[in-house]
Amino acid sequence: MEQSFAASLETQCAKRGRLGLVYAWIAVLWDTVRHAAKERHATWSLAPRRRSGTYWESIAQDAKLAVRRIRKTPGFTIVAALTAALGITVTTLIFAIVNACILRPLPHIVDPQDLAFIHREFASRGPARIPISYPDFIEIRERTTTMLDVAAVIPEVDFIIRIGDGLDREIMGAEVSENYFQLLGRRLVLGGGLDPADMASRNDRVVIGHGLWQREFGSDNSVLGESMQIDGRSYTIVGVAPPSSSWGMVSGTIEAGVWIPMKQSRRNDRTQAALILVGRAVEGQTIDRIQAELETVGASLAEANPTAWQDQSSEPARLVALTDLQSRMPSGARALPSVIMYVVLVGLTLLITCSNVANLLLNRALKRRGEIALCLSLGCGRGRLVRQHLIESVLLFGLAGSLSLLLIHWQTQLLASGRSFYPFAVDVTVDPAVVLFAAAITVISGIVFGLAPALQASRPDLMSTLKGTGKTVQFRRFGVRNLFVLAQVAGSTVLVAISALMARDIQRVDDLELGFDAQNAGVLSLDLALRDYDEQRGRLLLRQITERCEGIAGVDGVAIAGWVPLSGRSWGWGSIAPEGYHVGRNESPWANWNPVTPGYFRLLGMPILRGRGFTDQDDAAAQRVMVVNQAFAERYWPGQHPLGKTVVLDDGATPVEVVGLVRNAKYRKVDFVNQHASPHFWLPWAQQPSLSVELLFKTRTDPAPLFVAIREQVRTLDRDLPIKGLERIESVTATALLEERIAAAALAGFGLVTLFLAVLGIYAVMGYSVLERTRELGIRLALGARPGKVVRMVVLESLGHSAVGIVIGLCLAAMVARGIRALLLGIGSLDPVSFLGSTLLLGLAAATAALLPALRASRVDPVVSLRSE
Amino acid sequence: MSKPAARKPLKPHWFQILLALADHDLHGLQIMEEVSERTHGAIHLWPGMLYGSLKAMLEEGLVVETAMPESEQVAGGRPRYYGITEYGRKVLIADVRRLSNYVSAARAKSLLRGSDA
Repeated sequence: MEQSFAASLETQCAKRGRLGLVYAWIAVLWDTVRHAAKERHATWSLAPRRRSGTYWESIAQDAKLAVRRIRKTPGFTIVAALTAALGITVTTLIFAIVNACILRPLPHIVDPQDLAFIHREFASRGPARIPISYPDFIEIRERTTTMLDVAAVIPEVDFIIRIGDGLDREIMGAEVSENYFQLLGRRLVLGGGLDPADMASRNDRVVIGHGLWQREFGSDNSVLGESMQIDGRSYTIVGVAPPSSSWGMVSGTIEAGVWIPMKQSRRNDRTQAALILVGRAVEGQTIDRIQAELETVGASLAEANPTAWQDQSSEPARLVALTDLQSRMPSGARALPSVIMYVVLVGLTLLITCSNVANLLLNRALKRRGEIALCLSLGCGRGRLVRQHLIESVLLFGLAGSLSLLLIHWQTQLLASGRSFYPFAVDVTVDPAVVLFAAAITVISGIVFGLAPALQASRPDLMSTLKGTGKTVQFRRFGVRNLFVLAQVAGSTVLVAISALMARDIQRVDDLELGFDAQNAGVLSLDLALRDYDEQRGRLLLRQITERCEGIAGVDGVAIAGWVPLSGRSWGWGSIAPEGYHVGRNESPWANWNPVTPGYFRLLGMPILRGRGFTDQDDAAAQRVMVVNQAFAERYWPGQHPLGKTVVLDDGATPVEVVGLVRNAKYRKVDFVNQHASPHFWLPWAQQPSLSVELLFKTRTDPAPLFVAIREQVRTLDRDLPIKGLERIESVTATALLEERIAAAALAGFGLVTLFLAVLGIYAVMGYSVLERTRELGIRLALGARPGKVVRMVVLESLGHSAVGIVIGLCLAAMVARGIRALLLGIGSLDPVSFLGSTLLLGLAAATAALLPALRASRVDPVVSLRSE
Repeated sequence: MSKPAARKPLKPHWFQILLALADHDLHGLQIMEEVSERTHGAIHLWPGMLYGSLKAMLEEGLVVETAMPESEQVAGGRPRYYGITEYGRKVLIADVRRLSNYVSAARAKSLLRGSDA
């Protein structure tokens, strides 16, 4: 060997000179590493190789054996595979959704990797994305050299559409620059789209979404050239976008209904910053170069337009470019609680289901211990046995994984079929990434959760097992099985406690007094600005609508307001100066406000505690007045009588006198979280009119049947005035907490499923432990122990094991509850009732699971059990 | 032990080793030198590869260890000599035939011309 090495060096030196020496050393090193590993491997696998062919042949043999075993016990296989499939399905489905929403590039876009999404940021405000104004967009577009072109989009704009003589409906869409579709490079299903060269497309052209085309036009190809009304104006349809086009929707979950060119009013206004820009990089330019260029462009824009580019602390904003993927990452801490919740949910479900399967595998392995002991004593290696078990568990999980993919496929199809009812844009499909993820989860869980049973099973006490007196696993000892039960109980406790917390939270919120009465009341939303009404004509129209509505039989009263409490919209008035209130440093007195007509407080049942409400005399010519709520009075005039005090609003007009005090109510979602009501004041609509109004009407019975008549009255007065909404106030306020309700329902479902799985797990373990101790229990009974006492002993033992899991689970649940604090509205994160309740429930579940085996144990015939050993 | 003709084609360096041992027994270094010389340095058997292959070939019965020839007494260590077995020879011949068939086929298609032919 030495000589051949020396000879090799010599040959190479002679051939290549000095370089040859280096070459020879590298080659020898590589040669040694390669062949040494091969030789070592050959020694490792020498035993199975000699006995049964190659290494792979032996693996194939094991796989065959595993398949045979799996087929021989269909009951076990079905239960284990279904349980594992549940965990894998949940995990993979959540991944599929994340994959569709965030990871997968936007659909229907040419080279999405070349796109840069541009917004503004203030360094002091973290990663909050601040939009850009139209004039700034034009300047950025002209100055850039790193991007071929830049387009602009205002995503998620609510439009009111009317097709033909149909009803007005609100739909989400986007305002885009004319080059938007060209820049993204996607051909439309129909039509040419907006044309940058066509000046007419600047105002009355529209591209409609695929869903809208299907729903409203029955996928009619002759839709091009037809007109539809958007926000009271007529638009000509020039294109149909491909399906699930969420482009335009930055958050991307809702399919855009319409894309219209930027409205004219935005084009010269630098203060209206609502645009997000999309640029396409020049070939070879990276996002870093684009960012570098934008820094300079942004700095010069900020210098030229300080008012639009600086915040209150005169810090200038900077331009930030994000890649396609970055732009879809949830920004900021707002999404964090939900993310925590879903990760915990998914992780725990997977843990619990896999632990169950592991327990089943372990049980089976223990039943086979005689066979295993025989194999071991005949000279089979432990490694081979472990491998056999692992292959079996991976195959079982593989079965579960395939089942999961099938389930997910069905679910995604279900989701897709729902698209004709709801504009859900995310195309959740089983693509290679999802399959890969499912495969990885399957193999990893198969190995992780199969390893412990495999190791435990391959270690029986040979002598006693072969003699047939084997008590291989002492249940009293803290073994692998207990670890699985512990994990299951702890996981279930977390889920049950958290779902109890959420359910109680929602219940508490429902029980809370809203402070106003929304029963038998409806609301009609109008935006007069869409039809270019001025203040005077607007007043006239609203008076006419009010009078006509009051004339409808069944309507008890009508009032006008700027917004409806708990509707998701609210108006705030910053920098007010209440009389006599000393404003602290860095403080800016603030309150919610709402312009309302006289009937408002009576209509919504908000009691006036002191003073008066508004009257018809409080008109534009009269002294300015306001009504405040208790929170306003307590906040700005603690311990004082609020009536007669004045407030200076920063609108330059005369101070406003307080004439009434109204009881506190809930106005916004955040009022549920805050212990104290938020300060609120009302101004007479006549003194502070707005063109966007909510017309509230009180009815004797359900308001819904009157909607047709009300819509008719509005149409008689102005045919083309778009109706933004017409619904019960109760339905408006119910949707305020929709997100929380869905989360609570989802969690409750998960809680129940995992509780069931945990009960199954405990049952399996206790059942087996009783079986193991048949002899001991028989002796106890033979010596005179009463059956009741045996039952109590077994149940208590199970409770003892579960108690540790419950305690661990409660600690984890407390941690999770702190993480999702932001989702809780009416309840503390450490609500004792939820935690105590779930402890009791889990204890009860553990006791029930142990009861059946315990009863069986108490009926053991001492003679039979003693003879059996 | 599979039939010589039914075996998979020999790995290139196994073929070279068997070819080197076809007319006389050699020790490792000699095999290396022989192969290197015959192929004008195109194939160099590095030590790991050479001894690894010899070991595997011993296991498969293609070569055997032979006694050191009287004439080749070397000072110092005693090199191991290897010789081709009857089975090894058959395998080698089968492989040469296979290659020769390929060459004939290529020649029939006039792929080899002039000095190549």
